[in-house]
Amino acid sequence: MNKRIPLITLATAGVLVLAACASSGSPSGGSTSGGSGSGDSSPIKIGIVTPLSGAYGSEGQEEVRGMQLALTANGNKVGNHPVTLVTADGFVANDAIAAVDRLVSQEHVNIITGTYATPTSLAGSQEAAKLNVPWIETSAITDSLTQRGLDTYIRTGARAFDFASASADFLIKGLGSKVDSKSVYIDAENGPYGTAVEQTQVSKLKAAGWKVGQGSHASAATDVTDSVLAAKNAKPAVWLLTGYNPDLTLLLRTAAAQNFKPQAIVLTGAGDAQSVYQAVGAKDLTGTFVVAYSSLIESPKYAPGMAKYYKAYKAKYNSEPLGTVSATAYTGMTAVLEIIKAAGGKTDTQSIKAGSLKVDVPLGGLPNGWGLQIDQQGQNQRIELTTVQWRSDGTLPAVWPTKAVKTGEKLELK
Amino acid sequence: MSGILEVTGLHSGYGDLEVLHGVDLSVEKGAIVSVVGANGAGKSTLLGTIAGVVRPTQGSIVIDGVDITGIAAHKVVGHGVALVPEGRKLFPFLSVEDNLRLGAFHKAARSRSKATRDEIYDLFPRLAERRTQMAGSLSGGEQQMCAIGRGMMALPKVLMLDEPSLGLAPIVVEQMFGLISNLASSGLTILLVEQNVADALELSSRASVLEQGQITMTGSGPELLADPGLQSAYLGIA
Amino acid sequence: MGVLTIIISGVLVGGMYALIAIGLNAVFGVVRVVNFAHGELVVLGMYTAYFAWTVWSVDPYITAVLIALPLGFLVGLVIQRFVVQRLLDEPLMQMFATFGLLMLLQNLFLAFTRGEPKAVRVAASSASLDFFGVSVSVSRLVVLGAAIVVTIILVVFLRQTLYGAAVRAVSQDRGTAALMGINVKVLYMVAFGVSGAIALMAGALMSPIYTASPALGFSFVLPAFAVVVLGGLGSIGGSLIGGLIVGVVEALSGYFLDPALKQAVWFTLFLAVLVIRPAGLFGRAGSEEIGQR
Repeated sequence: MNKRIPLITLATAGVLVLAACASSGSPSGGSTSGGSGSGDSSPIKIGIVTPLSGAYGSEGQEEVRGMQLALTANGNKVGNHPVTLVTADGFVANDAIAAVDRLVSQEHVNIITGTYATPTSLAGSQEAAKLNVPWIETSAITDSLTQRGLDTYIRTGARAFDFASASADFLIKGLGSKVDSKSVYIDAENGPYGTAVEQTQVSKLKAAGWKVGQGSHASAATDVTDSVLAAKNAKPAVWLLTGYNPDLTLLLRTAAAQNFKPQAIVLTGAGDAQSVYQAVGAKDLTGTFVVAYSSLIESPKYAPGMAKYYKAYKAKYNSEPLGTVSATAYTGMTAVLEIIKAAGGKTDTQSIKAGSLKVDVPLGGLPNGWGLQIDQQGQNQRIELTTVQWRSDGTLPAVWPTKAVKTGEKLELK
Repeated sequence: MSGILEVTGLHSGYGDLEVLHGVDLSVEKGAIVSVVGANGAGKSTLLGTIAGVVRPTQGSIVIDGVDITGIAAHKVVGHGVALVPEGRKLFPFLSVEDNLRLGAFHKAARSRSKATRDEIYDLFPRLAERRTQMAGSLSGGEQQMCAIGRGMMALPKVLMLDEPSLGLAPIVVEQMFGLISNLASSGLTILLVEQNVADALELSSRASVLEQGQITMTGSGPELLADPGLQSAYLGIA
Repeated sequence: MGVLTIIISGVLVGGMYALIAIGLNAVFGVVRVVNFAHGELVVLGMYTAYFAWTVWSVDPYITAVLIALPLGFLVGLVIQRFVVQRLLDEPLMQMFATFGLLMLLQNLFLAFTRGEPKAVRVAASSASLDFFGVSVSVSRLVVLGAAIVVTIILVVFLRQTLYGAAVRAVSQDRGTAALMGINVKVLYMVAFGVSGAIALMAGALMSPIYTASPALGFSFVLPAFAVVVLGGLGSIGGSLIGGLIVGVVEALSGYFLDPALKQAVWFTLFLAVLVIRPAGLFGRAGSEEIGQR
């Protein structure tokens, strides 16, 4: 009759469950590849594994949209092979494995791509490798994904390392001559992603002779006054931040409240969303630099395919794209098709691997201005990330590298 | 048959388990009526059913002409039936005073709350001394006084006491029965359930014996006390 | 000055934790239900403020009082009436149910916002006062003020009124409370309503500070759970003090140790309190065990 479970026990269990949930979800990326051969005009089926529900469901859906648009732009075929897409929902490791099993056993896909999220890419690609299906990743960014020695795994998209290098290069080559002193305070979110980015930034900037201060913050922090004060006390010329939109927003707001005004603020990997502009406000955000994916719609010479993508998106979905996810996926699917083309339309793991090593698309050859050259580890080496800068009207023109800058814009400190 | 509380053909129990199999009981105004019986005979279930805590499946409960069969527990007290539950069930982290105030929570009693409380303090000076103490910190006897006081705060037509002597020292038990007797002589109607058969019968004007969910004997207290069958079953007199 | 700034920022964040914890405690302490969806109710308040601000240009502080309070009351009432009440005698099922509610609300937010963060920006967002050379954010001060006001109102209500005594009685022994003529179901609905009202109001008041996103609830409800346990189950005053303690401990450990260790430090504190004093700093010993009859 009296089987009471003390509430404290329930409460503790509850807190632990919540803690587990809270720590299980930041996007980044990774996986493998496998496949099977095909005849001259045999159809090719590409599976997309990406989060279609849950916290990153909208991003996953945007990714599918971008890929669909790129396929349409290529006439829904590679050479003589008609190409179709099949999607599967996957975010956590188990979902991704189940999604891969279904795509391979029931849908008989030849190649799998995606994924927006590292856990998806990591677990999904290992499962695909077992089934001997190639995996071409377009958007998961964790460095280690292409360091696993997985021969069936190729990544056309950027790594965290690329963001870190691009931001460090921007400071060294772009900002260095404009700021009063070559001093920087680097603060990254303290997960694996931010930590990896920060390490690369620190070593590159130190090697270039910059004075470097270091800090960190939790991406789920409710208050970052401590991190901001630490940066302020270091009196740097440049404040270099890595994180996600909500924590970067909080850092910028807190800096304004604490009257911390370095000569330049540079955000890596995020900070280009309209919500950031809305939350921080034009006064405090104007002049802030962001090293991120960019849709580069207004730089037709640099990014030749982006205007076409944007037009197609608006026409088909009758809304503005959500951030730059679909633009990146558009480029990603274009790269996937390039690799299949180089493999002569064959989709077995060996042909895809061989094809990927042959692909040679120069910088500017992909819609967003990237090129495509895959190294032995499966990583695309021709990735060039741009730096954009917030303007008071809420626009984000590219300001670096110089060739991506549209006429009338230039790199200026606030 | 025109008692202030009339229970007729009452069946009730928990889920599929029926505990009461047709109980009849009549309590006259101003009387002490006791229901005695062994542990598990269904005494507490009977009081619980009258109080609305246990759902009846058959039969009726009428208080002062109003049928209250099957109505929710929180409404029963407004009709004039207050239960002082077994084991006191005071609110341990509330003060004595707050426990008493809650006794008069229902609308009919609330407006007289302060006056009733003062009467109860007169009756139980010990409670008045400890009015700000947590009820959980009182001694067993004091807790029972507080529980009875809380029941009286409802200005009940019938006050039901479930095992008031349970867990009290013998000397305190005696005081407790003396007190119940005094309450009755001041005009309060009391329905008492006890395992302490001898003491209960001594002060009761009417009494019933409940065995396995049925009333097996009814009579005046002295009559039952003299009954040889009851003596051997409950009083240990061979 | 650095340390003063940190302590003040800790107190301000603590005010937020406290306000959320008080709402959580209203249900936790009275109905004895662990409402996992509480953080989502706070986020719902943020979205409500965003909606009112963009569609009708209503200031979030007006929304907090005029829209969030009544709406939150209604939402809480509905949750109790249609979800929790049916599972009143099954604490484990209640946990699953409120967890399900959490998932439901998160996914509704996702569906309606496509996961896009929503930010409200009003004058108070960046306004600050000067306090002995330390800048104090006005929007955060408002939340702290609200936490104090809500605490005072609830404590006075619980200690001084008959209905307050009834609430305490129900939390200690609901079966006996019914014998007193207290309608336990209605009281539970009101308790859930009050909890919901405080949660949505907290969300609306916090909307000028944080960018609303579907999963944001986690960041707040985690420390709030710790605050409830630290301050004591059912102790509203304990929630306020507990909130301030967690806020200050978090801020100091972030500044002097490492921001990465902030959560670890108050989690350790939380576990230590559980082991040494399960009733919490301000709860009564044994009170964590009662009330489930």
